[in-house]
Amino acid sequence: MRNKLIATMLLASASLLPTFANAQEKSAIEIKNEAFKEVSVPNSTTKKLVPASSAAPGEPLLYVLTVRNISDKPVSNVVVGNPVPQYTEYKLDSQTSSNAKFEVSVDQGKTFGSLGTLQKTAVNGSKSIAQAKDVTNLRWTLSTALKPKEETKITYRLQLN
Amino acid sequence: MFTLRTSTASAPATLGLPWHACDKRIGLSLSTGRLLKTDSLNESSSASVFACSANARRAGPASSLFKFQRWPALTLLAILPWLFPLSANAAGTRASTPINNTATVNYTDGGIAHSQQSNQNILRVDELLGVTLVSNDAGNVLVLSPENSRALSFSVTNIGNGEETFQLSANTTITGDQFDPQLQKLVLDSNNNGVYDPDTDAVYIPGSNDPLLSPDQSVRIFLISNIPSGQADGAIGSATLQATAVTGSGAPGTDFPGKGDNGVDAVVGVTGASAQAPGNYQVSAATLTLVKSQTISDSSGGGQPTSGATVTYTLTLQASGSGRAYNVSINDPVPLGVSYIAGSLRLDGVALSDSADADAGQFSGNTVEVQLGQVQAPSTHTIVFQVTVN
Repeated sequence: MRNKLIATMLLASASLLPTFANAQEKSAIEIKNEAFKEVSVPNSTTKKLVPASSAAPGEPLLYVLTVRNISDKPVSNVVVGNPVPQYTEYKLDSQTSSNAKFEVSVDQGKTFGSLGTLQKTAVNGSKSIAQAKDVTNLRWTLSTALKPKEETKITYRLQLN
Repeated sequence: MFTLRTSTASAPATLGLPWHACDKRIGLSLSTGRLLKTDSLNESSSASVFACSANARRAGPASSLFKFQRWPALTLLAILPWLFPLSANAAGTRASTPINNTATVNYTDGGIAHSQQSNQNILRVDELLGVTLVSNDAGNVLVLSPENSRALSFSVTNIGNGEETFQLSANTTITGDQFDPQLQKLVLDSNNNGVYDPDTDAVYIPGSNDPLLSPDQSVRIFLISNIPSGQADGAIGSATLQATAVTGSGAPGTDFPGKGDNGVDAVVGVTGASAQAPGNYQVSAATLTLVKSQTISDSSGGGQPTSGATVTYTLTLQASGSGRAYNVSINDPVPLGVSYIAGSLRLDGVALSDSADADAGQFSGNTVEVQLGQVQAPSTHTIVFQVTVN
């Protein structure tokens, strides 16, 4: 599993889109994506977060995105995007971030806005206000540049269907 | 007027009806005995009643009818899941499905747009263990005491999200009921027709043919018991069926690492991965009692059985209990020394013709015959006919 993951990461890095930047050039930003779940602590009512490698249907998952400027220059116009994975639903109002504008899309990322203002179109053409379960993409637009070595964390929850 | 009452006795084997239509029979006959205080009525007058037992149901027209009346609700229940399958994801995302999550960050660095992907985070879906068990019987299953090989019907459904095998067990020593059904076996409804077919359906052998069910899949199980003798009408005998996930069961949340589909963890869901349901047998018998009485009206307005006097016989059939008797017929040979008065036959106050026709009665071969067919207890039927003393 671990080897496969690393291989996938390498592959992802290698195929970095040359339309945006020289593939040889090291990215100024590093983004890490980790999943956690809450487990009960024996003999206690508290719960603790542990890294998740699996989850049962219905179980909530906490994802933590760590975005870090690894260059020695400020980086601006930072936008973090995250499609909601298949078989999961975004949990309403579960995201946390700082200095970022959070928006969602219910049409695979074509348009973004706040939940409650977006409409979804049913197969028969009828429109209704989109719900959390309709969210297809999450997006955070940082309002300030990331300073050298600065790191920001974004968290959100998904529930496994 | 005088009345003779007699107790029930065993059935004469000669008269009666399509015996093949019933697999159990109740027979009783009675005899008025010799009439006293008469010199002309010197033959005994006797009546007999034949009936199939309360709920014979495995052969013959009466059985089919009964089946039809008793099972429609069950049949509908059994068919519904096939007409309207549960939503495919009722059990949640299928066990071992990968959940892939990758984030992307876009930014500008020195005026040039860049895009960087995160690691691909992959989770696998655990196998959630869950099972439900329900009785398919619309109510208590009506039985006789004794009776062999009666079925209670249950459905076991895998409400987990993986392929799971379930072990079955039965308990017939339930407290609070009136008798313990004698467990014979558990049977899988192999041909999935909702009916226990002894020749077709496979006998369940624990550890050998434990049912393997996909998510949302159900299997029907028959619990087969013998009903002990000596149980009163209305007596209840309970049994429970239990189904438990072979992978593991216990408190919800209990984890069985690596034991799920394709090596994922198996986790006990809210059902505890074990379920049980009760079913009841209820003794439902009909006991038939026939009482014959007579009144005599002579020509001088008295009650002497003189020549020309009219004797009115009344046969009262009482069905007690809660079951049904089938193919009930009452035969009463008219004694020597008297002549049947044509057209005098009545059933529950309604005249019956003497000929063999659509109505229930006939007079044939010097015998009064009334075919009541199905008799539901409790009920009372009265047959009246008249004779003239020769």
